[in-house]
Amino acid sequence: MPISSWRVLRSYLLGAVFLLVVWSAVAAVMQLPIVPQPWRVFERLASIMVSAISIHALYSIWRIAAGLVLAVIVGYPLGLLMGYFPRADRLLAPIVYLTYPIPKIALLPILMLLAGVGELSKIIMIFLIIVFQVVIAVRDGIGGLPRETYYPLYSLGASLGQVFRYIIFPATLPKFFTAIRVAMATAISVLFFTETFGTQYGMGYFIMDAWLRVNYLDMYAGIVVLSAMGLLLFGIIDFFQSRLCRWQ
Amino acid sequence: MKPEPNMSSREPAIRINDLTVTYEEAHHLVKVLDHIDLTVEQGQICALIGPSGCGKSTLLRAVAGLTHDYEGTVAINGEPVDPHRLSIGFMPQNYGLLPWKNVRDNVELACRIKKQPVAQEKRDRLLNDLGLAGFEQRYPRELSGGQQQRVGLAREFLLEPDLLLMDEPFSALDAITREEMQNIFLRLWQENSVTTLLVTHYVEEALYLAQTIVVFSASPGQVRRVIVNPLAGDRAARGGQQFQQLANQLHDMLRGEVEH
Ligand SMILES: Nc1ncnc2c1ncn2[C@@H]1O[C@H](COP(=O)(O)OP(=O)(O)OP(=O)(O)O)[C@@H](O)[C@H]1O
Ligand SMILES: [Mg+2]
Repeated sequence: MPISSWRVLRSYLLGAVFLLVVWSAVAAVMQLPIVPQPWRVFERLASIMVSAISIHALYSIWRIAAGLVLAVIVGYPLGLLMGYFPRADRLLAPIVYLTYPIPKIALLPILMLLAGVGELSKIIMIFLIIVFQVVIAVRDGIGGLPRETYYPLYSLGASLGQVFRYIIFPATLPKFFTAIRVAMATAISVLFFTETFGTQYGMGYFIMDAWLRVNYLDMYAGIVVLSAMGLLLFGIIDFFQSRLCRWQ
Repeated sequence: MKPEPNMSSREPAIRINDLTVTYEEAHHLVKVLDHIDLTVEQGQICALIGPSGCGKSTLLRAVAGLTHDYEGTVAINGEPVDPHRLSIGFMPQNYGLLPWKNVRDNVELACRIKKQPVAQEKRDRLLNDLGLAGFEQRYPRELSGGQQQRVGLAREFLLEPDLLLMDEPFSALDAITREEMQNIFLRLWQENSVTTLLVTHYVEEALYLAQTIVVFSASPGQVRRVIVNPLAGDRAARGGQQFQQLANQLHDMLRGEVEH
């Protein structure tokens, strides 16, 4: 592993240790069942991770992955169209700008009426949160390219496919990844919220259920897993970004 | 002129007739190029020189087929500009490297676009000649300006285009690197004499490289004078008396003084 990766790993470990120390101190001061000592939470986590939590974690990951994939499938071509063809942008930009600022969570009641309270509405919710970010990132990524970037390809009679492959795709990747990273944080919190009803599975359900059962250790174990999921997703995004955007 | 057996080789490489370009600027039209006539013979280097804003880059874009928004005709080898059929190497002022491709991929880019097999031996020889051996895996931002310029040249000379267009190729370089690059360019050019149209701000560069020098006047851009340069490619003549004389003449012309 290169030195820089070690450094990153070390700073993450230091951060985790710091948080645990703060947590432990707060627990020691407060002496309340609602703030248990971290080691007790991790003990519980170890004993119920496989048997009780993993199925919920898988459900949440599936919903995020499905929403993300849908958002990329729809958002990337849309952003491409808007970024590359000014006419498409003139047509679509007003629609995007008018719908983008609507808090997606406010649409949840409508969504649940239309798509039911089950899987579909949860996945569509995540899709809605991510898709706008993707559209705008790709569109602006292309719009920010100087015209001269295309000239050496155009003068060789490059096809649209070649222009995409050699210029547009690589040029939009950094902004694309950043957009996904930003949207992911919102997506996870909204997922938590949507999982508190209409399902028996998912980290949101697990945490709220533990809370209602007044089982604080389970609840904390769930929170730790949810945080770890977020970290994992960021890690995956970072990995792909550093792999595919090595030139930066 | 003695007749050539081949029709197309008798045609000038570039023939521009009556080229006029107007841009719309803040609700009124601005004529940037005004009735330009220009021919460049096969296998020649032609330099365009003129005041800033006189439309040199605009002209280059028209020849490269990057714009068709003009009046008049531009023909390459006697036929309308068609980037799909021809291969036109276009080097913008920033060298046209793709920041996300490493040196090797940037050099091979033109061949890949043209779906030509990459001659690996030639590629390696070019990289070697241009002092880029060992830099194949680097990205453009990890290179100096001069090195980026050489990558751009390697790309063009690997492709061997029908036509090479360069917009102020050496302007961003310091004086010493610029001279070095001019020598490198000439050496590569002498191997296969690709017809070249280049824009420059430097009188000395035009005199050193180009058989034909076209002097533009500004607003609207017009051809002021076409000069046949006997000193092109002559390293020994550089800085000599005749060279200096021509350079002075060109300088005067560019300053807008009346020439005899
Ligand atoms: N896309 C455009 N839209 C409107 N005006 C333009 C456009 N491109 C160039 N112009 C104008 O046309 C004129 C000629 O531009 P051009 O870039 O061809 O000049 P140039 O001779 O290359 O100048 P320089 O030596 O500074 O590079 C300038 O006045 C410029 O402002
Ligand atoms: Mg210019």
